[in-house]
Amino acid sequence: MIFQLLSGFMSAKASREAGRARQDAANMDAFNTETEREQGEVFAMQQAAARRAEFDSATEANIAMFSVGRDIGSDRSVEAFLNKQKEIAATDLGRLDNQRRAEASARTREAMALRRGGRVARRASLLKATGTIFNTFSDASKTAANGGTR
Amino acid sequence: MAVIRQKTQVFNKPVGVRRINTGEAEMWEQISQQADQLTARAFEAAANNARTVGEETA
Repeated sequence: MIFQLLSGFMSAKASREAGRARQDAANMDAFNTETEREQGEVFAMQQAAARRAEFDSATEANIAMFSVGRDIGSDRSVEAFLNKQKEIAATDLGRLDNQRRAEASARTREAMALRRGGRVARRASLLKATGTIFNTFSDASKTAANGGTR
Repeated sequence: MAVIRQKTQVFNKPVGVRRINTGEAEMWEQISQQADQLTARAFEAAANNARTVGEETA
């Protein structure tokens, strides 16, 4: 009977430890997903800064070119052209921002699901361990009732 | 020097949502199985008890 109890407790402990290990692994996965999200955000910000710098440089070059021999302050066609260029660059920046937000949101939800999975695995392992202990006691009491023969 | 025209460079793409199984369904199935086991054991114990009481009474 002592072996019966010992093996039962060992099994319960192993279940508990397995649940803890699964939760640790899930937490690590969630942490990595969040790090990935932050990296993605930094990457998107870098892309936006590069796009803005490119637009600024192009605008400066265009203004320098248009200002040769004409008053660009009163030239409506130059103004319309520059506004159109600004609109195109702004659309790109807006899209970059939307993409960044969508990806960050997806990664956040992913990390949440991973953490939840870890918590559930832990809870399931505790339930399993409780069941194992209960069954062990039940079997042991039966064995004891039969005089330790069965 | 030519005019520099802006071109659209950014296009949104799918963000690639990953499907994650949280294992919740499996946990509840496990609870259900354990409850079934408990019921079976309780029934067995009650049946044994009834048999013993019956034999003693007879």
